[in-house]
Amino acid sequence: MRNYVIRRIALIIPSIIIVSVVIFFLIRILPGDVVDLMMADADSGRAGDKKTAEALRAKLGLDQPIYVQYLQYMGGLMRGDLGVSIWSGKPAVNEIIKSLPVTMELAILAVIISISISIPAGVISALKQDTPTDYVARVASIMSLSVPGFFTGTLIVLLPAIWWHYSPPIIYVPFWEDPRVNLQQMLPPAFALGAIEAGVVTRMMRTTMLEVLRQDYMRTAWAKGLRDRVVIYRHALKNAMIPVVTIIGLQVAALMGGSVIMEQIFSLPGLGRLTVGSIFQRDYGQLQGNILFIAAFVLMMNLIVDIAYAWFDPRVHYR
Amino acid sequence: MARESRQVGIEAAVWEGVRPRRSLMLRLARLARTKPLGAFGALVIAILVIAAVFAEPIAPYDPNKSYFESTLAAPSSQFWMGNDNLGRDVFSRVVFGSRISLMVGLLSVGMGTLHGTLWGLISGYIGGRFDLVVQRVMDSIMAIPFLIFALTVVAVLGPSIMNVILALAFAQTPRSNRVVRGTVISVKENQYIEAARAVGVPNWRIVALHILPNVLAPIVVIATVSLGGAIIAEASLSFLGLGTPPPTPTWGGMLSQVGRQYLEQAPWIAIFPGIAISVVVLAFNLFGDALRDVLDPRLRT
Repeated sequence: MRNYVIRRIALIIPSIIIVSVVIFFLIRILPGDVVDLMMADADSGRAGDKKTAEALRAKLGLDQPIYVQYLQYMGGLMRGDLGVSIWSGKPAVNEIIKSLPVTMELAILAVIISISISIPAGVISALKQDTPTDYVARVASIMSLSVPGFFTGTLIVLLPAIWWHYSPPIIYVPFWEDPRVNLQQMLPPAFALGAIEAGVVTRMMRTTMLEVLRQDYMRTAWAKGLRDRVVIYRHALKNAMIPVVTIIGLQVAALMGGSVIMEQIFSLPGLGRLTVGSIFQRDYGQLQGNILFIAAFVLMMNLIVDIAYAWFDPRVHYR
Repeated sequence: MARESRQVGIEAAVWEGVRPRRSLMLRLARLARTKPLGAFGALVIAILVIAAVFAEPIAPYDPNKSYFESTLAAPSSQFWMGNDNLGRDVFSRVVFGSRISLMVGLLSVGMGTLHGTLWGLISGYIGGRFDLVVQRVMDSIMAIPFLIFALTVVAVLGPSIMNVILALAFAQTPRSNRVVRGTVISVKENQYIEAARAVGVPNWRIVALHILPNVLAPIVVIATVSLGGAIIAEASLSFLGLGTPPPTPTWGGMLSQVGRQYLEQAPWIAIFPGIAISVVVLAFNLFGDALRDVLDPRLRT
């Protein structure tokens, strides 16, 4: 077990390096560079000034050959420096740390909402296999996978506005300042995001539950006259949950992607909005810091899921 | 020469043994009877294809022509889905929008699947250190959320239909790769592969004739299921303003700035394309599910 954990942690390092290489070079294929954009933007009178542009390039290190830029970047990473926002000149980490709590809160709320819908729905659907209840649950879960997040999000904004002329407070308020206002802002997007995930988890829950229900020990449990509740909770659900927990863990990447859309629709200053903003501003520094951070986060979550899996399920062979 | 023909003979014998008994077409025909939801999906997909191919005769108006006298008009017998802020017919735009969704979906998933399959076949078959490296690269790409990865690629290449397709194909690659590689690894342990290798069948022939047919079912399933995701991703990119540039009508684009700006005043601008995306993606999901049950019960989730 210990060797397995060490080996898995060691394998994350090359993955992060590959992500950094992919992102670093991908972003630099950009036709026009950020300096041109800044010059055009800053002051149209001075836009043609080559000297200023060169000075700016030198300051940002963009005049160096690309591999030197990469090595400098990697050197920074080793010291925990995710790069510098080209636009504001501040470390990219600052912005990430500022916007991270918003995305985290959104993701956690979405997971709570999705679990509290999907686990009961999946279990009931499996217990009542091929009944109308099962059918409704299955159709609902596949529908929630099919409606795009931005459409659900848009409807959640639109319908209350039309029916009750209600719209949530516009300016973002952190949770610790005013939890009530904060939740008014966060719950609608969390619901839209959680609904999509609930579809995935319900399907998984139903399948694994059905599989477990067919096991011999389940028949034994029923046969020796245990109460329904004991059989379902202690014998079935406990075993069926293992792959479901894995799926919930693996949904982290999808949640991070989904939050990009939700933060955009609901104007929340989170990591997704920061990322889209840095794409529009061609702020390489910020963008690559964000993506690397998100990828590292996803890899860590996957690792935790894998280790938890090996820990909880003695049947898993780890080498 | 004699050795050559004997080799082909043995190979053919081995091959006959593993060929599935029922043909693909027969199995698809059974799908309609046993899987009504899958058949519904197939029907919607057929309608989508017809709408995309015959958009000109189906759409009652030019999707980009403005009828200023009916700007923001509600749905009526003349304009079935109402008009947008420039007086354009929403129904015609939805019909033409199917083109972009279908084209981007098919091409990106097709290219991504092809690319992923190729790497999956090679890395699964060769195995060892090569496999390890390829899989690390795929894992790394998978660690970047699909949408963020596609956004970055489009941002780098610039928003155009072709670049959206490329971005989504790139993001699709590791997903197909994983499925194919997994299947290859389990298939290559079979005795008939060993037999083929023992009689001296070259590697490329083993991969193309003995392994690939076993991988086809999971490829078809994963591609169908991915189509829905690709259509949502295309629409999401257009929604964020990084997809196919206007005035080309796209479902995601119709739901973006303009649709949301007039949300309360003229909700039909946004609602109809939203419903179109949802129904089409639902159809692909239902069809993919049914296909999975029929073609590859092992993949069931």
